[in-house]
Amino acid sequence: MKKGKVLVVDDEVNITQILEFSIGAEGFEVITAQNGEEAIEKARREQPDLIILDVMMPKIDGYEACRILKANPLTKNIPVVLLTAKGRDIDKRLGMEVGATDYIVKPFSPNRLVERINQLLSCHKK
Amino acid sequence: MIREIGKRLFGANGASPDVEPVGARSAREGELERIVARISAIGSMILADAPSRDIFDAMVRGIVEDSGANFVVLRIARPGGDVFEMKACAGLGDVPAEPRRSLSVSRTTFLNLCGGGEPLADGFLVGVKKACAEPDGPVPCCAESPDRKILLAGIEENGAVTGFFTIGFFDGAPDERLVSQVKLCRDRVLLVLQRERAKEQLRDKERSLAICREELESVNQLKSNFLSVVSHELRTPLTSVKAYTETLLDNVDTIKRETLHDFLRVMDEESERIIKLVDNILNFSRMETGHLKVERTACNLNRMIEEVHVGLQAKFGAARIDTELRLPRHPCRIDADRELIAQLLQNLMANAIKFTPPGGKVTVTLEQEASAARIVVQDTGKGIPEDQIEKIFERFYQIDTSDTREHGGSGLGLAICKNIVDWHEGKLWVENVKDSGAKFVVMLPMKDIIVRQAASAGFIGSRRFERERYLTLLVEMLSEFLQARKASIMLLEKDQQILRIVAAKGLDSEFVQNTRLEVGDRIAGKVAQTGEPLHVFDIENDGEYGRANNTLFYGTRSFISAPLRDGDEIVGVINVSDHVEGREFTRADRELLEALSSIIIGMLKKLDAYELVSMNFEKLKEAMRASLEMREAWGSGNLVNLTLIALTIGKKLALDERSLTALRLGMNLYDLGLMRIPRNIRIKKEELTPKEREVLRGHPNIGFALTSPMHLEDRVMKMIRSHHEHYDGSGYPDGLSGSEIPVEARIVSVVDAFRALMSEGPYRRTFSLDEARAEIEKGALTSFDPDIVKAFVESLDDLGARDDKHELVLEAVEKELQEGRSERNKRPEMLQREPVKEEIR
Repeated sequence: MKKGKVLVVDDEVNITQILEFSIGAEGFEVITAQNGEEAIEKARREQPDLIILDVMMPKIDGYEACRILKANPLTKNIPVVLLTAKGRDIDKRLGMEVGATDYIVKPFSPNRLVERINQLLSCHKK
Repeated sequence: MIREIGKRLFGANGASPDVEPVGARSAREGELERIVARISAIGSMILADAPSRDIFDAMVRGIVEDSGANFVVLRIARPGGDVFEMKACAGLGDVPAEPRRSLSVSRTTFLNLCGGGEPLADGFLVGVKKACAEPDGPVPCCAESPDRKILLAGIEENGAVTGFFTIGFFDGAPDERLVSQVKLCRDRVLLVLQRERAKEQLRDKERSLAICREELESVNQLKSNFLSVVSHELRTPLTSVKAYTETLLDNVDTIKRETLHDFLRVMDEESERIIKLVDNILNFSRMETGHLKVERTACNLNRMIEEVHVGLQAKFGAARIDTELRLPRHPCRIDADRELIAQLLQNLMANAIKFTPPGGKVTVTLEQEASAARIVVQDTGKGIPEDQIEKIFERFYQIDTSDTREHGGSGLGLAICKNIVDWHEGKLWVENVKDSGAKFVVMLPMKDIIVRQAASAGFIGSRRFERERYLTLLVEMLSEFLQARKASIMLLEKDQQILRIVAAKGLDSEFVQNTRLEVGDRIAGKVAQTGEPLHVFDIENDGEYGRANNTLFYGTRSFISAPLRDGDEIVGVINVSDHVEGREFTRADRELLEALSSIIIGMLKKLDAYELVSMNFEKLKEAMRASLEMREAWGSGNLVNLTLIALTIGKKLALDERSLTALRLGMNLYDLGLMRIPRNIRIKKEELTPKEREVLRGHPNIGFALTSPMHLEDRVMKMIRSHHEHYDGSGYPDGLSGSEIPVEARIVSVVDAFRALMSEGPYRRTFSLDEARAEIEKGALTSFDPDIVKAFVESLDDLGARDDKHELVLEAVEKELQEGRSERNKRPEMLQREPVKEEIR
């Protein structure tokens, strides 16, 4: 029995690949998407328990994707963790404004990310 | 209407009583006090920073009131100093506007009047009649006092007149108190002027400060752009490295071998990405601060382009982009820093790959021109927005920062390219190609060594260096116009018997310095002796001049030599050899060289005059530079063909030899004004705004003004000015029609329209030859002279014009070259075979 389903979105294949590995090793089911559009589509269809969403992506960026997810009753309750290379305060605020639950700055430690996922999902389930 | 002048002031025609009554004396003292009070009031106004206009008004009003003069006018020189403008006047209140004379006075008029007037201690008394005879005389209204006089009192500053008072009217000499009042006012005027200048300086400083601030702000903006882009660019690969390393450490005992391999590969690639980025940043900052060492060596551009291109094959493949190299047959060599040029090529090609979608194509072209190598990297991406075309070479600039995710890059690549090209004194720009894609063009000069050497030896600015630079420019022009790798100008020494090279391109400098040629000796000597040009098609097999030739040194075996004539006197010889395309010179080339010889002799004469008097050297250079740019823009080969068409039309119309010479030159110069129109207007693909159109339409006049220091023949000047006039009078700039337009200009307008149609234009594709010809025929009677259109169509047929992928080709030229070759080859003579190392023809 898997602990839950996590959707990882990043346009860098290296990142989705390593997250798939390390989050998967913790017993989660991992699905991936390469861009905003695909993320929205998969979130609706697959109903993951958590979404890890990169901010800087072509076409629909992470903020915009998060806004769309939060506007849709089908996906608005899924917690979203933003991943970004920008560490400025304004970027964090923007993230909170579009309804993200948490914010992790690149480069990040996969272990800590997994910890965060564990925490968030146990809180969420309660 | 004219006020009676009080006797008290002007002493009733100079007759003043020896002893003044006591009452009169106290009255005079009262007046003096009034004057002093007034002057100190003006002083206070200056101290209180009152507007200059108010101060001047108070002055002239004071003089009128205290002296009872009919009128006072103060005029001050405009910047530049040729015209005195009215700043204040008093006593003119009831003079109607119409009879007032002009308010501004030229310096010439002022000086004339003073010179013809009666000198006083502080000015000149001038008769009203005389002052009124000048069209811009200084007297506001003179109809009523023709017999009286006015006073012109100049205000001097540093030995020059910067303004003057006009006061009237007088019968004799003005009263001394008036004179001292004027003196005091004059000093105050100077104070006010100095104050104004100080204020102006302050305003200038403020303006430049404001500009500085703006620049600083934009630098700041760039810096934060840079930080955000670079931090993103660095964080992305670092994220991978960090995530993979940590995961690997955690799972080092359990991980599968192939996964391990996979992870390490990613880490390696991503580290590589970081190294490249850091290298780029370091290189760039070193270049910016000038710490990078540049070493010029001979670079074979053909080979370097091939090498970089091969290195990028994998990237082309991965991006699924087709690619093509177009290199010239002869290797193109330039003096440049090998590493920098390799980086330039690498960045430009990598940039093209980045912005080209899969299925697209990147084409790299290398062309050699007479004095520059041209590298073009063309992609089929979405092009560059017109408003950003100037900015993309700024450091850290990216068209759309959100695009970085899609395209990657630090925003430094093109800025580095720009720096590299600048270091080689070349040019780099980008153009959008119609329908799709962008085209990056690099021009790297193959500079003559003389200029660089002189520059490093610190000659710059000295007269000797100016002369050398100027001669170099003339030789450049020769070589560029004839597309010859080697060109030289020889002048006869004072005794008229020895020819010496005064400027050369492509020849060994020792050879240039040591060559002395006697008149009648060798080919250049023959030309100097007979005054006839010599065109040698093939030096080895030429009957008369044939001899063994050092092809290593000369490249080709064809050359032309033409005399420089000043009237009937032969003063020197110009030579060209080694055509850049490796072909022989044609008759058309010879005729162009002869036509150029007249320009060159004119300029050489100007140069001599410069050494005696002075010459606007910069303007002349500017004109020459523009003419070279026009060749670059139109394409040299194209210009040769178009000139041939123009000449054939001229011959069909039975024009005389002088007209044909004018056509030959004019075709090479007519559009140089266009090169001074801002680039964004010149190459704009969309319809021009009315304002832009107006600017563009200024180019014939600009060209006219630019070429004026070249002292060209009138007919050539008219071709430059009138090549956009229309037969029906609807053209510009002068709206001439029919035969008002000189016939040479009418020919150019047809040929230029044809050229424009055959090249890419706003809102339309390129026309084929047949379409362009049909379009010209449509314009007969409206835009063009129908006779010339007829001659034009016939000329195209005569010359065997056809288009080869939108390139104009004339069969007549190709045929001439072929015949020349086969005819010369028939001659069996083989003359002395021992190698002649260096010889000037």
